Amino acid sequence: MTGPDILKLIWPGPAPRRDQMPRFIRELSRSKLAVVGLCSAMAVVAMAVAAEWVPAYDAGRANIAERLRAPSLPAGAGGHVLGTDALGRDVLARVVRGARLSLVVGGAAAMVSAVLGVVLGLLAGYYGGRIDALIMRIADIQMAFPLILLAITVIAVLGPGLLKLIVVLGVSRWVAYARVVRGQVLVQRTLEFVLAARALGASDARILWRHVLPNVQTSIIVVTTFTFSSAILTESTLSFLGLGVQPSIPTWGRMLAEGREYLREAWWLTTFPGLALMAAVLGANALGDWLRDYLDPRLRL
Amino acid sequence: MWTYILQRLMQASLVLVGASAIAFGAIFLSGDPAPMLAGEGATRQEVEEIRQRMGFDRPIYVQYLEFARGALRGRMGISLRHNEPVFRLLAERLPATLELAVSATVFAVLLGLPVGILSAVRPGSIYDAGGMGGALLAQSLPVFWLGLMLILVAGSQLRWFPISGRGGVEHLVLPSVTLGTYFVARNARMVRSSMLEVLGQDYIRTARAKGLPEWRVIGRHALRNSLIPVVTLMGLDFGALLGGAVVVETVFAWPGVGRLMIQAIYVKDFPLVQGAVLMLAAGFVVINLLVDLTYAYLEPRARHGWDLSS
Repeated sequence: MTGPDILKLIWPGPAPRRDQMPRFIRELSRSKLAVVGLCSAMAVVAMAVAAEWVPAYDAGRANIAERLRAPSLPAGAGGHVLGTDALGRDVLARVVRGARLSLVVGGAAAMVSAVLGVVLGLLAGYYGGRIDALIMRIADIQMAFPLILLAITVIAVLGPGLLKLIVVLGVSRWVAYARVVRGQVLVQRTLEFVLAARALGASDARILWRHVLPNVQTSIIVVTTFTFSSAILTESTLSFLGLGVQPSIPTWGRMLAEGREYLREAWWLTTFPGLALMAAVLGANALGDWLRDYLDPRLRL
Repeated sequence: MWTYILQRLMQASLVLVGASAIAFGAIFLSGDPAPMLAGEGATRQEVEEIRQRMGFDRPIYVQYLEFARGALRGRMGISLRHNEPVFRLLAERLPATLELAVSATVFAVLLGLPVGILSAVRPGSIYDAGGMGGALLAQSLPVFWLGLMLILVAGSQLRWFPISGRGGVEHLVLPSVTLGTYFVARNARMVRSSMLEVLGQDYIRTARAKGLPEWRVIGRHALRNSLIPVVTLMGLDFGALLGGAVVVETVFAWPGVGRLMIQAIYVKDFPLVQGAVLMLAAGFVVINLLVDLTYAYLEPRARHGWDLSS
């Protein structure tokens, strides 16, 4: 018998998950906010996917003759459902394209900070001592510096760019992961299954990966939803200030910045990209709130 | 207590060193400033002369120490664009930023506390659902978009309030609401959860058992005790508010430090950017420090690093 097999005799692992999904859905449908969150999140994802099939008005194609057209129904035959911008570009097509960028930036940034934060949190919680002190001091310092200020400074100097943006947003958000993971690892490392694994000669890396990490994954999921929404918000703020990605990529933040010039004569330029942005953030936040209550009430602020 | 104060002071100075290193490093990475200062058409010799005169040829740590020493004395170099000392420019704009931050905080408290209290006193009621749903919505609103929508509706369509610049109280309304809305939600949620916890305590039951009227139980016994974490949160948020001010000032053309900084970024006026970042970060650090010390004074357990959230 190998180590993990013997462990299974002591603790057979989590209960079979067969009835998990129905309960998940039942609980979800009971919370109105969660349903609203799910719907708006799905709407945004649908936009990002649908961007593939909206070639009718290419998001980048300008047509000065059609500039600043008000939203009109029905679509087709030259009608623009959400109107056109100052260069005659279709607002709907651009909003839909913007969804894609927001999801990519938010997702990638959350992934970067999750990897960083989880690794550092595991190390700090498991080893304790100086490593813990060092990592948590760095976390304190990082938290004491406003995120938006950090992002603005770095992008202002390095110049705009998709990859730079993802790195900046990702690297600056690891602290939440590290804190949550560390707190749980501190508890877990004294529990029987970790002690047993260690007694059986499992390496630290194996203990952390196979025995500790699976038990903190629910918290990681919850933190990810909030990291995701905050990364999306910061991205659009930077884009709004002209410090986001390359000008060739349509983003909600840049659309809002452009629409700002025509606030009085073309309300649709600022209204629709903002609504889309709000839907994305609201979706992630509402789902995150609900997931926290559902998976792990201890995480409540 | 003194050990704690000393510890926090050390930590705060560490953060300031970090912030100044970021501000300095950012400018350093932005490229060689000597040709920029020399202006176009300068000969190589002139550029070299400037480099030596300004000390750009020295090792980087020497330059950093020089920069840090200057910053401590309020010398942050000369703005490339305005041709004036950075410190004076920032000092001129600071009151406007503080005015905005303070009035946004006042708004966040005046609206956030009642919403939170009402939600906690009647959990599960329509007030609770409305309050917390509204809070979730408010936390999901992009600040600059909220500003644009307020300008669109209350500023241009209804013409209730001026939409840009600084002036009387009426100029403060839209920017403060824009900046404060997110924090209304934060306060409301914090008050609610903290109050719900307090309302389950024995001394609340005792107060009720004594036959005190409910408003007195809530107002005197429950509210006071649930405010400690709220005050801490507000202190921490005031720093975040300074960051948010950068965006709001830009939307409403509010003449504060944040707008100055963004404008400086556009024209690559790096000494000014550097100074603004440093000033905002320092404000953030000092406020956090004050909050922590006040908290430690009110709640002695916090001095020993006990986790009070659990």
